[in-house]
Amino acid sequence: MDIETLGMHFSSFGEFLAMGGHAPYVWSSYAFMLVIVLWNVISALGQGRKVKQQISKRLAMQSHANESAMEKSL
Amino acid sequence: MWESLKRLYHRLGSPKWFFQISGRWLPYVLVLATALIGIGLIWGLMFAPEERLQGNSYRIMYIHVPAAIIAQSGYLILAIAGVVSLVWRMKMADWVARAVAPIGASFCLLAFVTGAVWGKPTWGVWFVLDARIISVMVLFFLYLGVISLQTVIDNPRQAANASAVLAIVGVVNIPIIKYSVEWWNTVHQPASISLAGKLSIAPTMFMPLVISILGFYLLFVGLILMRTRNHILESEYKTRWVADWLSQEGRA
Repeated sequence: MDIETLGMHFSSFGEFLAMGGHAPYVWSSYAFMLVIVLWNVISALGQGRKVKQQISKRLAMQSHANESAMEKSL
Repeated sequence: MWESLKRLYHRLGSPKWFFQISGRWLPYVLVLATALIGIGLIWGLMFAPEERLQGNSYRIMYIHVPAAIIAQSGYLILAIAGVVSLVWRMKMADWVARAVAPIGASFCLLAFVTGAVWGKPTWGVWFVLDARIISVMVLFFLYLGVISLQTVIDNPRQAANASAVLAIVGVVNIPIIKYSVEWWNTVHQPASISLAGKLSIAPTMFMPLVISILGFYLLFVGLILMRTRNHILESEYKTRWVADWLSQEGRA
């Protein structure tokens, strides 16, 4: 690897953003990637939260049913 | 060797074992994935040289290629889980399949969209009827089919059977995707990298691609673990160990 390849390819931040005229293609692709990654993370976390809520609701209902059954047997 | 493989297989079939091990590994997987994706994409966007013919639009490759690899290996996982589910009735396989399907579908869409956006400046068109593009579209529809069978059928066993059969039948599409660029030589370029054979890409462009692929793949693994854990909790909530885990989680 020579010295040149170790440096940054663009000489300014503006040039980097412009992507040699290909900015709309490059940046829209990267933006869509971000959307997909965020959707994956958020939906997995949301699924976990929903499952935990469901479980606590079911367990509460169950213990309630157990209590009323106990009361009846008394 | 065979014995230890068999032991691993039986352990993987145990929801409790999977849940505990994955809980321990998940933070590391996600942190390493984030770091590798960051390094790979910054290197690819800012430091890698420009492509001689395509200019800077080739930098889309650093997300297009990982997305395409994930889309295909996600489907392979679906098919393998399908076989395990049909033959051994292993519930873990059904949960992994349910976890993988939406993730794989989303990355398939990402590969498709970034391919279209890359095609415009490179081929002059967003979309062409090319064998590679059609077979990836078929892959996306197969994912949608598997997801709808998993969600529409109420009976878990029937849902698992039906989606497993579709996943296994649809796997013929995977070699078609792979060889489409060689069998029908149209617009899509052949693979830039392969496990065997010569590299057809400069090392300075190749290194960030490898790092990005590793990073996205680890993210993929992390997402599978997260979703599989949710399915385990949902189904095993009556067991003692889940109750213990939940009460610990509540105190933390």
